[in-house]
Amino acid sequence: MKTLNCTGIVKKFGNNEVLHGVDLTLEKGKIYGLIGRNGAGKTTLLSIASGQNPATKGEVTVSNSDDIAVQPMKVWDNQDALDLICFSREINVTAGNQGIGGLKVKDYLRAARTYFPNYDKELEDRLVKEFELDVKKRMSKLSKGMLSMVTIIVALASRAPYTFFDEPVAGLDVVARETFYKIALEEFAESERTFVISTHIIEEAADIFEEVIFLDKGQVILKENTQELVERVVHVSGKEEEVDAICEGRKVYHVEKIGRSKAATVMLEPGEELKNTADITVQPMNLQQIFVAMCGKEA
Amino acid sequence: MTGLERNLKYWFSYVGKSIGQIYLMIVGIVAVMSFLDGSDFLMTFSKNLVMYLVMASAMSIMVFGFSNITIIFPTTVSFSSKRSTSLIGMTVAQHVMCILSFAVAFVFGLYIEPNFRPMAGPAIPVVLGGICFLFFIGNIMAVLSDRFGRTLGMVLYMLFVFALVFVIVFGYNYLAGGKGEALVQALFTNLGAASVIICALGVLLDVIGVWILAAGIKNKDLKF
Repeated sequence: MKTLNCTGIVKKFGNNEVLHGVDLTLEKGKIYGLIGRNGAGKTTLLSIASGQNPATKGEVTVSNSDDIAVQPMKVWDNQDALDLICFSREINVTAGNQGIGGLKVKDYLRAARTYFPNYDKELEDRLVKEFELDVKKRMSKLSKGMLSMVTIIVALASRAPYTFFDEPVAGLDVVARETFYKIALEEFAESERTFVISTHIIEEAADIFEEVIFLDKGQVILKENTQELVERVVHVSGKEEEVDAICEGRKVYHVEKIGRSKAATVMLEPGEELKNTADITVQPMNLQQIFVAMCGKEA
Repeated sequence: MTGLERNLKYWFSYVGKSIGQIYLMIVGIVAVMSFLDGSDFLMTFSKNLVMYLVMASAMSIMVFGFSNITIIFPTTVSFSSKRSTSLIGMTVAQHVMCILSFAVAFVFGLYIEPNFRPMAGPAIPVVLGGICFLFFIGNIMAVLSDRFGRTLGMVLYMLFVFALVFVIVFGYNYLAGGKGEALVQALFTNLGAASVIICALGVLLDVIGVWILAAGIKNKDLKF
């Protein structure tokens, strides 16, 4: 089966362990939202999953064949596997005019064209036009939003079967964000590509995520179909004993006590429905509220 | 294209463009300087060009060695290149471009110094050895700066250079004044053999430098 698998990924920086045995399977042809607070390990996980940095422990493999007899390929230091992946990460131009900052946008895009085997120049041209990006400018002269556009263009035009976006809409204005979502969905519909989009702007992007992955303190705490998750997780409030009765035997993520009342975030069984009663109020939750409830604090 | 072919294509284009811009600037400056000098233009131009070209090539080995490994190399890795093939592409492109520029300087050197022409043969391996030695130094600088940061890396690099100079001077004096005296004299009378030895030493050091660089970046967490 066409998947990218992370098995037991541990990452340490010195004595600081930032990923604690992450297991994750990304299936071909899905859009995943990777959601986590600052420092949760999103970029580290994506850089390891894409073979750009090594894991301290664990392994990343990728398979591009539906034939189960075909062994998955290790990603680390394997060009055949790396050719299937694009992780277009944030561009750092703090070095001023040296290196990347001194490159013109067109030179940076030309480099991407050289490296990604399925690179689509026509798509690149279209995106440059849609984002109204001046390719003659030096990278060091671009705003944060414009740099995000460059990373989006490289990621989409790479036509890599597994494409990871690292905070792609950071710094983009609302029009550019809409353009990104629209083109990403178009590209997704036309191809069998897998997108992983890490973002802080959860609600805006929630509609395009087929599945969400919540990463908290270096661990995947949830990987669910977005629609099912939003249907199953509810906010229950009311009399303490009634709320406790509902919580009994169910996954409870966040509990709040206000005087004699209680509120809880509860995950229902698939297909299960809770209705409002005189003592209980059941409210649906959006993705951001679910994330906040699960991770305790604001994203 | 294979990963290596992609890297060779990119690095030749990047290094060629970077060095090319510097050399174009040098040619322009040297041409103006030689024109203003008022004497034989071609001779003055050639003399100046040799000096500036050699200086610029030696400097570029140091400067580009550092910025390429800390900035451009991670970019190629972020474009899903294998580290080893990118390093090979970088090393080959830098070497070829620098050897070409030294070759141009060498040809102009022969033009301005006809007396030197009979020694051109033995000089070629010496020049090659010198270029390789510069690359070795450049790679050591890149490794130290990359690992310890610019400031501490530069201090360690200076210490390394001092130690190297000390070893070379001390080693030469030891050989020339002791049991190796005959060997040193033999080398001075047989320039062909001496130049081949210098070239071989340079190449050996260069290989060691590349190997240290490769070992340093093999499992390193790259900063992008």
